[in-house]
Amino acid sequence: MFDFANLSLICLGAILVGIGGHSVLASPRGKGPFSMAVRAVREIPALIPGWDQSIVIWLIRLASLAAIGSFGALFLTGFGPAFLGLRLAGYLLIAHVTCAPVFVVSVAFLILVRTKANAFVRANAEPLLDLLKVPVQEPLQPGDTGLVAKGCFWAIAVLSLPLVLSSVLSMFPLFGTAGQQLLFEVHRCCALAVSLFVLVHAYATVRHRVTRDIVVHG
Amino acid sequence: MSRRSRGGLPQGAFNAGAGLKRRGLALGLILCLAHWVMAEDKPQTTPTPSDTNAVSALVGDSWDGSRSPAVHRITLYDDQGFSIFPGVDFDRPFSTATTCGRCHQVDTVAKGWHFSAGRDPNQLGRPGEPWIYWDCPTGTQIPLSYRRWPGTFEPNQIGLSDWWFVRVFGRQLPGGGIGVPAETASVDPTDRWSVSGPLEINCLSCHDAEPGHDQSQYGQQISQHNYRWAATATSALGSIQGGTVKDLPDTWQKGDAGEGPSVAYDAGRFAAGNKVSLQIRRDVPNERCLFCHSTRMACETSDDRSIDVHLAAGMRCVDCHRNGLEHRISRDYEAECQDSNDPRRATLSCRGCHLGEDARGLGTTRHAAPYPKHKGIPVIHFEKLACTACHSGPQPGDRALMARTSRAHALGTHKANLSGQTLPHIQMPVFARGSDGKIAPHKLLWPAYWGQILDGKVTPIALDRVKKAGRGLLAHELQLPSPSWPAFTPSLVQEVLSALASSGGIGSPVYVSGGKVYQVVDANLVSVDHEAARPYLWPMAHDVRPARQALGAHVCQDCHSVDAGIVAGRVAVDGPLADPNASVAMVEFEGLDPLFTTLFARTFVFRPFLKVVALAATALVAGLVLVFALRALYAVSKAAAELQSPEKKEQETLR
Repeated sequence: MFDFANLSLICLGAILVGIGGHSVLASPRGKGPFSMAVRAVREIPALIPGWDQSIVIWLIRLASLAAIGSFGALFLTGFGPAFLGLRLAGYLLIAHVTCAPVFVVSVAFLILVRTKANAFVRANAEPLLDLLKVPVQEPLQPGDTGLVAKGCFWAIAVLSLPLVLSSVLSMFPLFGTAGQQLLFEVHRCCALAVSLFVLVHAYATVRHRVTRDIVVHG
Repeated sequence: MSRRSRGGLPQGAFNAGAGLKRRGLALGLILCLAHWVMAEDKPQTTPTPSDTNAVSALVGDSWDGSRSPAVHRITLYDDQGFSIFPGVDFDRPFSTATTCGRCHQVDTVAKGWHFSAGRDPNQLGRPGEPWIYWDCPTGTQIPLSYRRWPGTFEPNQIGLSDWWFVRVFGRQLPGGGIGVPAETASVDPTDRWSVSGPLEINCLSCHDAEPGHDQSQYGQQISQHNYRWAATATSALGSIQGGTVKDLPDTWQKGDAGEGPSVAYDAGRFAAGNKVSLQIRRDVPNERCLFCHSTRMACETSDDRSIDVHLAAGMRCVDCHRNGLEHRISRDYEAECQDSNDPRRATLSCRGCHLGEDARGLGTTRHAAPYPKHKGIPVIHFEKLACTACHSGPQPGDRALMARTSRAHALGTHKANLSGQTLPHIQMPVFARGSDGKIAPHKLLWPAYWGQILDGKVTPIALDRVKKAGRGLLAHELQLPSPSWPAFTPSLVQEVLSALASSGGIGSPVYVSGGKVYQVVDANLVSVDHEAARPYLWPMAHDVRPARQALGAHVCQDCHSVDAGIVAGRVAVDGPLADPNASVAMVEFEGLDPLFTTLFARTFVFRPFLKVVALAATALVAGLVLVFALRALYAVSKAAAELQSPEKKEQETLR
């Protein structure tokens, strides 16, 4: 039935199918999934920090790389055994525990520097405001990543709290066996949710950039 | 037993006994014989009940519901069924099988765990403590068991017949089973059943709560071949006098020249009606269990000995190790309910009693045992470790230590050797993976014996043959400075192996010691690793330490550090020819990757930093989320206010 492995597979499968379907059906002409994948790959070198930039940008790019890398490692070491019906143990556990602090620090830093850019503006809620007959007043800025990407950002920020706390608190003598089990369940459910939001956020961000390219370059 | 005597004892016993005293020996004999004949006609046993709740014709077999212990004021009978009368010149030892058999189905009891070895091949269960036969001159310590546990050998493989097995280990056998020769069993010419008598089930070994019960007398009598007299000797009812069976010829009978053992009963214990009051308890006193089930570290002294937390709390062994009439005493390991096909046993394990669940996580109920908090212990520990790993035995150190057990070292008997190095060499605690796949503390024995290899399988050679072939080569027992390993050299072992090969009937003789099998190949002594040389391990569960002394109760580094005894502890390789500095790490017995355990232990060095960093990052993100959530609320409030503003302006315009 719906054990965690099946639940993870179903959720990830649904999100990936949804992203794929959306990229095929709702993309501008000539900017389908392949184009977006190329665009995403082309973004990666831009993340490599160079010494000719300000220290803040250097740090942001370093944190972005660290977050992406550690997320990938955590995803593979965490969900890999789960998909196989195994418990995270052995060297994979060491790798998972080693990557975790890198992910925590880099994500916290990125949230710190990206909150302003991801703050909702009225234009993000245009459909809702139209429904309420509230004037939007100001148009959407060109650099705005949109409602979906911002929503995912804040979902990641909020879910990262139980995700991290559930693993850290289990290291303190606070919770008994039932509490430990609960923390474990919270941790992996939050990890699944964060993973799904990360995928959607990445898709929405890339899609936004592709769309912006069309607006800017035609 | 007075409360039940009407239904349980033959009505004629009282009158016959009194009459005998008054009218003399002859009349008594006649009456007694008459009673015996009548008793023979009376059905003694009924079909075996499946459990104690089954209805039995014998009054002592089923519990009537009274919580008051039954008083046993009874007549004693000898093994022929004659009443025992103190002070008469043909005094014979009383027989517990016959005496107790008047009210209890001894045949059913005989199927119990303590008696079934060698008689019931189906009662195996988890491998447990073997009987360890040791012999210093031949450098032998070999685990024996009639239960055919992997790694043990059957006694007859080293030339021990049932009679001789009783002679060697009977000191801590409760009788019955192999102590009573089966009618169809083949008898070794050196067996002395006809003069020693059988070693019947001795109910008093466990159920006697008399302060004067002296179980050490049991071993004394057995060493004198007085099997039939052993039970009487332990009781406070009489003492054994006269000669010993050991000094009698094999064909000796009553009336022949030579003095056999006799019994001097304490006449003061026999009350009116020739009955004696026995302090028999169904709930066996701990002292009776501990006579055969004690363990001490070789370095432990009486003033620093510990006590199991359950016993300290006032519990008794039998509160957990329970049995019905069949005496299939529960051993209380988690998988026992499956092994015994008795789901009730799940409630008696550590998990069943303290967690209220069996190995499958299904609910159970038993004593109101404290529910463990296990705060800060991730649940994976309960999947990988047995409860005993953290809670039982001595705290693991950098080396497993020598230990002594009642059965291996005859503790509590007059033959116990107090030397710390006396064989057999048992080491504990050794953390190893058990039959259920969980890591648990074990006791360990490196086998050492002479054998022969046939089709790759090593089987032991009877010790008599080894001694015969090694005569002149092997030292005599009296020449050894201590009852420990002899000073074997490779050349000596090679000579004995050659002598065994030339003695005929032995294909490829080998000597097993220190985890190696030694064999002569092309006139050279070579050693190889072999399954037969692997150490024998059996799990240990006691003494249970208080929760505050459990591993991990204070810091994770009790186990997760590079020098933690549970993984980094060493087990000395023991035996003649073994390198005195050789040892094996616990991780090898645990089936763990040494590199992994070291790396994982290292991660705990950084764990405090991880906690600080993660909590700081969480606080930062939480602060940001809170700030922007408040801003969002403010924005909503502001938008609502702005919506109201045009209406206000319109109203003002209208005014």
